[in-house]
Parts: sequence; structure tokens; C-alpha cells
Amino acid sequence: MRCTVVMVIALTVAAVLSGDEPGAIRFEDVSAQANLRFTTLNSATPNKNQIETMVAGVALLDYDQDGYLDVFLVNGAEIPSLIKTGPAYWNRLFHNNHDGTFTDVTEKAGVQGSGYGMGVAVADYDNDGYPDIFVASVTGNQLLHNNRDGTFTDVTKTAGVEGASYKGKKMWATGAGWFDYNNDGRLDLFVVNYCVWEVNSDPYCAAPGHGRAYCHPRFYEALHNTLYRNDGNGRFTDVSEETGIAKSPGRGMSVSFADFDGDGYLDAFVANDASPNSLFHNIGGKRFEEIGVEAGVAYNDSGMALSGMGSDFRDVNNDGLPDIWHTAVERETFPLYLGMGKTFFSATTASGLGVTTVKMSGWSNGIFDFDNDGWKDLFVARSNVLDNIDGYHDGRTFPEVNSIFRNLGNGRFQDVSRGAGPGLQQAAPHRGVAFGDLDNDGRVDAVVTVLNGAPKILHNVSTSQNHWLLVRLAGTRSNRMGLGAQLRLVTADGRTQWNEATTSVGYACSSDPRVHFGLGANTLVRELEVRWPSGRKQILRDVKADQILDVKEP
Amino acid sequence: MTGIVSIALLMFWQADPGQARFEQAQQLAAQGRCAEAVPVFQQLAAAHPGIAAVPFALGQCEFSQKNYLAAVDSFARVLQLQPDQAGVRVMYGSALGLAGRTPEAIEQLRQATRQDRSLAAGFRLLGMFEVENGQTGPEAQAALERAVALDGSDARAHYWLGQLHFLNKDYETALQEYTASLAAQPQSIQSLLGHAHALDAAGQSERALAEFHDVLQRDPASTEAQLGVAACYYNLQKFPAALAAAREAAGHLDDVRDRRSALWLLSRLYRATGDAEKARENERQLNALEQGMNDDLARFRTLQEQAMRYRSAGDFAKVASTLEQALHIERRQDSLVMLGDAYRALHRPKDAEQCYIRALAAGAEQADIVRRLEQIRAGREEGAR
Repeated sequence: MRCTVVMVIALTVAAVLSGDEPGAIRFEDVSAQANLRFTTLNSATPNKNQIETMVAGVALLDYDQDGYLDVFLVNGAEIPSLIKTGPAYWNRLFHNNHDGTFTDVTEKAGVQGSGYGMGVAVADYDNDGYPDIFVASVTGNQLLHNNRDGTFTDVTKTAGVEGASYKGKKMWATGAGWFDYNNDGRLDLFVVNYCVWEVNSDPYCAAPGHGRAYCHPRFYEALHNTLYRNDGNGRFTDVSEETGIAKSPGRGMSVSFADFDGDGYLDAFVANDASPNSLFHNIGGKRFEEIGVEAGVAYNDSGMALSGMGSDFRDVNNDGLPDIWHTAVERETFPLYLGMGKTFFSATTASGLGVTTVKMSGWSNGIFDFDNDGWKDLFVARSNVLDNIDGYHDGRTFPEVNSIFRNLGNGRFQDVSRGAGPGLQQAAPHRGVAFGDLDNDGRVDAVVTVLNGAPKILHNVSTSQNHWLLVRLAGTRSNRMGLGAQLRLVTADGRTQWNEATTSVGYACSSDPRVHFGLGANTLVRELEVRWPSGRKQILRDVKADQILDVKEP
Repeated sequence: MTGIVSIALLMFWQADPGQARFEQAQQLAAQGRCAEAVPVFQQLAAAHPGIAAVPFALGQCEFSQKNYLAAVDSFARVLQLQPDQAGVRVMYGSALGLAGRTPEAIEQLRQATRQDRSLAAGFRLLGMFEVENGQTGPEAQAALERAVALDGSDARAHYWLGQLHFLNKDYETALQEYTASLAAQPQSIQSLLGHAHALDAAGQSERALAEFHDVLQRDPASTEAQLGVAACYYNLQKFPAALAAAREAAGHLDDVRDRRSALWLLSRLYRATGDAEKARENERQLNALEQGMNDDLARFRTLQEQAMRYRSAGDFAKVASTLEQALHIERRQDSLVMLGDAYRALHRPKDAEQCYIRALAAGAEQADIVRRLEQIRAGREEGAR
């Protein structure tokens, strides 16, 4: 009898550790068979140019509207020219073949790019039903208009979004995001700018006994972000000054959007590197006031500005108020701020994330319900910033494994990475991660970029019997993609969840625009409410689970 | 501490008549009457400059009177006479550290613990000064681990090892060490505070709260404990209770080690309870700290770059003066090494030596700086010959 009990316990422990128990979050690395031939090249030099450690972008978009997400990857360029001198440096677009493989369509699509790329933001800015691509770069930014025939046209100059200048030099953009700040039905563009930088002119920062290291960001002057208003004729106007966005410099790394105070206008959170985070409160679609400190999201629990990296802005505790989770570097924690209406509560300590993440360095991230249990979990792409840290800092390594924190539904999160499959155990210099359901099976997958390595496609193979719903919005008065819509869902068991329609997730990346819900054991959604950016509310009742639901704005 | 010093020091008296006076002065010192003993020791030291026991006894008295600078001179004299006395070197290092000369203290303690691997106090002091100096790397950890291995009942060694792990954000190990410290010395408020902070950081705010209250019962004026109570209540989302505790501490923030953290907590609590005006007051102070830090860093960066330009031009006098300014803003190991090199180029070996000693205490790099230090000392000895 005793032997049996011991054996049962042993098997249970083994199952938990291996992630084999029913419902465990589990990913399979399917990169080898996916044929995604790409290497993120940073052209590392002995001069330790700050840009080298930050190349990241990946976007999941259905560029040909065949119902499957394709993959767009951003690449660096040669240093010091900052020019893509050959195909190895091209940005690349891969078409999803619907069978787990991808085909490189870069040349046909005409999306190779030219300069030193960083991040990407995808949205249908001209409301023609096809997603367009914005590439944020150290050099000129690029807007690629989707021609609806598998090709793109570079409309950067016409649109006027090459990139704003500071002290006569184009600002280094790390990422961007699309949102309709004035609710006029046209998506506007928020470009995140980092710091003043010149090639091969970085200050000398010593790595003890190992020569030179990338300098701390505080050694570089911070830049302000750029807001472009979409004028609706293929042109954009830089409204950073008149809206107040330009008043608040920071070393911007990522932007995420949600209407945190429920006033009907989307607000913007910017995770800043070694500067206090910014929360731009949208005042009636006309101007922004920066209230990061007042709202309680500028600093960590110690009152220190962190090395803010990726961010996501959506409800993790199912109370209807959007929350913010952003990543940072080791010894800083990845803070979680819970929305309280006007301000935020720092739940970093109370959620257990503080002690769990304090030794990690994170880049891109996202808040998604990976096991479809009705509670959104957290995923972070991890790596140290410094490529030579292994030699001079005890125990720290440049490559790190990625991590998943399961939402236990009681305000706490559990690191379940060890049981999430072999693909999660491989350390690498991870940078970007974009999320989306690549095979339309209702489970959210992830594509992770690796500095000087090939991207990883992490196929979600979680074995739960939970149900799901994926909502594809089509705005009419609102922007065509419905970005900025807030969705409230009530399942048959009476539980309520909220989610945001956005592609602006994590650091330098762009995720699936479709809105995902895990439904637990529910096979029916009692009520689904869409609050469109136009202000319209639409309610659908008795929606069946396990489907991709098209919802058109009435 | 006395016990670690070899009795051999006393054996040099032979049949000198000063021995009786020395023993009388020692008796006075043993009775805590150092004020009376010190003049006797000083006279004996002048009369018998070759007897190490006299400056040693004098140093001990000065140390016990917290006259650390004088103790430094006395212990230095002992070591001139008997450089192999590792125990005296520990006391010398301790006095240096308490006199505010931390880099030199660390250098002496390193030497002492290399001379004698059984000196628990030496390892503890080395680790302690390193942690106090912001160095929480492998050397400090190894020193403190050696200290607790040599003397598992040393509450302070456990406490400092706990502090090291806390600062390295390893809260679980920190908790173990604070627990060991409390087991050895249950009344230690310092260790209890450390334990409570580690509990809170590890997400156990309820337990931490009880411990902070315990500290307050013993020391009602402890601002750190009041802020700890406030932080725990905040984490438990009990904002009015948190604010009440924070208000108690608000008037004493100048005494707080982590002022930023306190200001930020107060700001968030005032916001959460709807007192925007008071929140703004704290936010203004916090913003001023942030701005000050940025301004300092910008100034440091400018000075450092200027120094590098002067170095390229071979103007080492300007390198030195520029880096001296920069180091007032931020103490960086690479800047200290560059300054030491500049002093070497200016033929100021003593200043160079001081820079390298400070550099050794300021970061993880060791071998390259030790090499420079050895070169400069060898050069000085060569010159003396």
C-alpha cells in the first residue's frame, strides 16, 4: 500500500515537472519543420554600438487575408554603413502554407527594407481590409502599403512618416503601435523613440577584465516619442508637439494601448529604459497628459526607474480594468500594475512575480490565456542585454530561457516554464515575441526572435479540454480592424472576462489582431459585448465556443 | 577581537622596568579606564619604539574609545614591527573601515585573511565592508560564507550574509541567513528587520507585517519598521492602514536609507486614498531625486569624455583634475584606474596607489588592478633602495 502511494506521488511529481498533466501549458518548438529561414543579424562590433543588442521585430499578420497568420521579421544592417548591403540583412515575409510550413515571399512582396531595423507595427491604416506594415528603424522608418495582391508599396515619403528629427538627426525608433487616438475611424501611428546615438561613437564602458561592454542607457540622452495623426488621404501629420506627446522624453522601448479610465479614448503606456515609464492619458482625443507618476506606473516598488522593455496593457484579473505588465532586466523584477480606475496598484510583490522574476532579464512579452482556462497568463522572451556578461558577473548569462507564468486566478502567478516543453528550456539571446493562433486551433502560439540566430516558432500544444473563442472584428465607423475595441464576454457559468483588440504587444513586435478568449469548460458564451472605438456597443448572445467569430460593427 | 592576536607580542619585554607600568596600564584598560591608560601607553610607546605590544595595547584602547584614526596609526605601527600578525591586521582593517577609509580596510582584510584562513572575524569584516561598499559579488559572498563556516554562532556574519543575499535579490537564502542570525542573537532588531523585509519581498506580507510590528514594540521610533508596516499593508491592499503607518514615518524620511522607496510609497498611498495634494508633494521630491541623478550622470559623462580626450592628448594633469571631479559624482572602477594611471604618468606613485586601492574596492575587476598596484609598490621599493 505504502509503495503504491509513493509511486502515485512520484508519478504525479514527474508529470507536473514534465508538463504532462492535463491542462498544463505546453509549447512545441516547430521551427525546424516550419522552414522559416531567417537570421537576425546585428553586425556586432568591438565598438559596442548600442543598437547591436536591440534588434528584435516580428509581426504576425494575415497579409493576404487567407485566414492564416503569416510572419514578418525585421533585420539589422551592416555597421557602420547602417545599410542592408545584401540579402542576409533583408527583412523577410513568410507566407503561412496552412500545414505548419512557411514560404519566403520577401522578394515578391517587396518588403526587404533598407536600413538598420528594430521593430514592427502592423495595422490596416487605410481601412481597405488588408494589413499594412510599419518598420521602426535606427535609420529611416518605413511604411509599406499592402497592395492586396501579395505585394507592398513603400509609401513612407508620401505618408510623411520617415521619422522625426532631434538636433538635426532622425530619431532612433525602437518600435511603434497603431491606435485611433481621436476616434475618427482612422488608425494613427505612435512611434517609440529611444536615445541620441551615433554609430561608433558610444562612450567607453568597461566590462571588468573583458574589455568593453554596452553602456548603461543613462549614458545616452533620452528622446521623445512621435505621434502621427492619420489624415485619411494616405498622409500623416506629426502632432507630437500639439498633443503634448513631445513634452515627455524617455528612452522608449515599447508602447501599448488601453482605455484605463473608461472615458472612451485610448491611453498609451510607454515602457522606458532607465527613465520613469510614461502613461499618456488621452484627453478627449485632442491632447495627452503624461501621468505615469500620478498613476503609480512610473517606478518599481522601490521608487526606481527600471530598464523598461516590452509591455502589454490588458485585464489580467478579470475585473474589467486594464492592467499593465512590463519587463525589465535582472535585479529589477517585471512589474505588474493592476488598474484601479484612475490609478494603478503595484501587484508585483503580492502576485509573486517580484520574487519569481527578479533574476530574469526580459525583452518582449505578452498577456494571453495560453491554457484557455479563462485567466490570462504571461509570456516573456528572455536574455541579458550584455553579450559578454557571462565572463564577469557571477551566474548571469547572455542567453536565457523564455518563461511562462500561469495565472492561478487568485491574484498570483506560477512559473510553469519548466513543464512547458523542451522548446522552453533552450537558452538563447531572445528578443522579440509576437503572439497569435498560427494554425487556428484556438490556442495562442508564439514566434520568438533570437539575436544572431533563427526565430523560434513555439506551437501551443497545451492538452486541456478547455474551450475558446477567437473574435475577428470588422469596423465600419470605427477603424476596419477594430483596434482599440474592448470586448466583454460572459460565459455560461456566469464568469466575465475582458480583452482588448490590439496588435501593439511587447517589445518591437506586432501580434494577432484577433481577440482571443479561453472559456474553460464552457461551450457557450452567454453574452459578448463589443465596445467599438466609435462608441457603439454591440451585444451578441449565445455564441458557440471553439470558433473564429467574425463580428462586423453595426 | 583581542584573542586573535598572538601572545608572542608580549614576549619582547624581557626584564625591562617599563613592564610594570605596562601591566598597570593594561589593568586600567581592562577595567574600562582607557582615558587613564592611553597616556601611559603613549609614553611607553615613545620610550620603547621596538616593542609591538605597546602600540597594540594603545590601539585597542583607542579603538574602544572609538578614536579610530588614532587606532589606525597604532595598529600600523604594530604591523611595521610584526607584519605577519594577521590578527592585528584584522584590527587595523576594522579601524580603517570604521574611520571611513573603506577601500584601505578592504585591502588590509584581504591580506589578513590570506595570511590566516582561520580568522572568522577577518572574513566577516571583509564581507561586511564590501557589502557596505556596494560590492555584493563572489568575493564578499565567499568571505561571509567562510566566516559562518568558521563560526556558525556569529550572528553578525549571518546577518551580513543575509544582507548580501537580500541585496542580490535572493530572498529565500537571505531569509535563511537572517533566521540563523536571530537564532544566535534573538534580540537583534537589525536581523529581525532584515528578516521582515525579506519576507515581504518574497510575497509573504502577512508574516512580514507581524515582524515589523514586533520591531515597533521593541523600538517604537523605528522609521524603517513603520515604513515596513506601510509597505506590507500596501501589498495587502489595506490602504488606509498603510497610510496611517506611513504618516508616522513621513516626518523622518531623512533618516531612511531608501528615501526614494519611502517617497514613492507615500505618493501611491496618498493617491489611493484620494489626497492628491500630499501625493504631489512626495512626487515632487521624487522627481527632484530622479532629475538630480540624471543631471549628475550627464555631468559625469561629460567629465569622463573630457578626461579621455586629455588622455589622448597626453595632458595627464588635466586627466587627473577632471577625473577627480567626476569621481565626486560617481565612484566607478574604470575611472579610478584611469586616474591611478594618470598619477603614475605624473610620477605621483602614492596618489596612484590610493586610486588603485579605491578601485579594488569599487568593482569586480581585481587582477589587472592588483598588477598595477604591485608594479607601483615595487617601483617605490626600488626607489627607496
